[in-house]
Amino acid sequence: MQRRVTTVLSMGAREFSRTPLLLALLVFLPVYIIGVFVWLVSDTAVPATIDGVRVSVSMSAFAAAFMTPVAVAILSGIVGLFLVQSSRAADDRLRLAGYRASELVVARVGLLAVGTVVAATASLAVALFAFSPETVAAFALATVLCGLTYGVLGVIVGTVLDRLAGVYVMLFAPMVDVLMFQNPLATDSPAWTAALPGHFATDALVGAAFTAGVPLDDLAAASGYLLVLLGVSVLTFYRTTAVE
Amino acid sequence: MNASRRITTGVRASTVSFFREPLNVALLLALPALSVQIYGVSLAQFPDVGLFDAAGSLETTGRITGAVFATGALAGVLGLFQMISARNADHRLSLCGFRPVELVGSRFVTVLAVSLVISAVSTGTLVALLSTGVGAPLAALAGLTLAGLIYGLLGLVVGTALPRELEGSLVLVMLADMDNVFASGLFDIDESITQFAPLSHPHEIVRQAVVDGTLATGHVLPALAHVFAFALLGVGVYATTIANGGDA
Repeated sequence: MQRRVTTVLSMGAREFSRTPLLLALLVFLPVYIIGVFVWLVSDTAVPATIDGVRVSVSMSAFAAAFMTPVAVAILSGIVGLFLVQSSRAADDRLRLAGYRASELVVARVGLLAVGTVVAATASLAVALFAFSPETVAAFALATVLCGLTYGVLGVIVGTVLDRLAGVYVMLFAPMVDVLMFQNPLATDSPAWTAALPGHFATDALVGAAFTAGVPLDDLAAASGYLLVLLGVSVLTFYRTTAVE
Repeated sequence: MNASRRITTGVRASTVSFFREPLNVALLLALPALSVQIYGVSLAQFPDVGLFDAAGSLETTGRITGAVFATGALAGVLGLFQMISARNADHRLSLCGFRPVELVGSRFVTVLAVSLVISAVSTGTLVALLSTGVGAPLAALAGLTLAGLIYGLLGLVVGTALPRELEGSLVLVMLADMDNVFASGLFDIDESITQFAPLSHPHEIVRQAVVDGTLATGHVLPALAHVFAFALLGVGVYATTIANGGDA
């Protein structure tokens, strides 16, 4: 099994490396989205709710911290969507050749992780230029978890919807979930927003950015959420590529 | 076949290929309504204590932002996929005697038609959901149609200059998301900068139509200038790529 996964992964990585424009976009777009936002907002203090405590943070530091998961989630979601769409024909044939759905999903998600790490690294570089998180390692881990969560969600959406409909969905979902419903500036969030994909990773990221302790609970919950989504993606992938 | 007939044929083919997919139609009708509702609910959770630079209530601003974003983004994605999917066919049509301006014109008319549908749904949703009502529904419809046109054309330009689905989608999604944040007027950003955000003028037209019940005449001309600029850019880039055999 490991050899088959490695083969699919290395073929995908080779295809990835042949699209330098995509890699350039994964680096440039976070710089644009975070950099421009930090540059444009006024540097006033804003009240944020972190771990139930009301604290005051500067708007530029908040923008740098908070636009990081937004940028990575949008990029990873779209990459996940197209990763599964573009490899659909090949994956159907690999299933006929004996590959299991779980092997293919693990290989595709492995490739997605590469894209997420590229986008997250570029995002972190800009964010760290603009402000200093309290716990850099936890901040970076939460960013990658948020990206992977939306990447796997993109894989699920790409498995069940076509490209046009999938892009519609991935255009709205990360922006509304992460930027709007997980925003610590909000004081009256509906309870159901805690069930959204970006919840735990964003909580962990904001905690790592502005509080001294490492938000282990949120990181563990975000990892659990990711594993559940991964299970769902294997199931949907299995159903759509089932060999008769 | 004369020019008008060729454009009509192109429009019919593009429109039919889009509306043939029931899921596209369902999303086109559902997403604007969903976006208006979700943006309204999400902004209503923020304290109204001067945190944001909104002129009216945050919920109303949220619903207006959701309507403008949905209309612009949906038309943009449609324009993008129209150009990418029809690239090879258009090259063959150009060899058959279709002029680039006719081909891009047929895409433009399709985007206009779909923008009108999305704008109508968004306006209807605003009328239904806003407790204060919409002061000037026709002006709101005009503002939303302009948002759809601007982004539809931007999608055509991105789809022509960057004819790969993943890369084109990444660029368009990022542009739409950031543009929406700037155009919303929620953040205290210098107007001399935000006026260049393509959605800022349509957003202001819709806001004044909803809140004040008037047509924001000062924003109509800049919005039309964006339409004109993107249309010119679209025809220019398109004519160049078709002349090069469909390769950017």
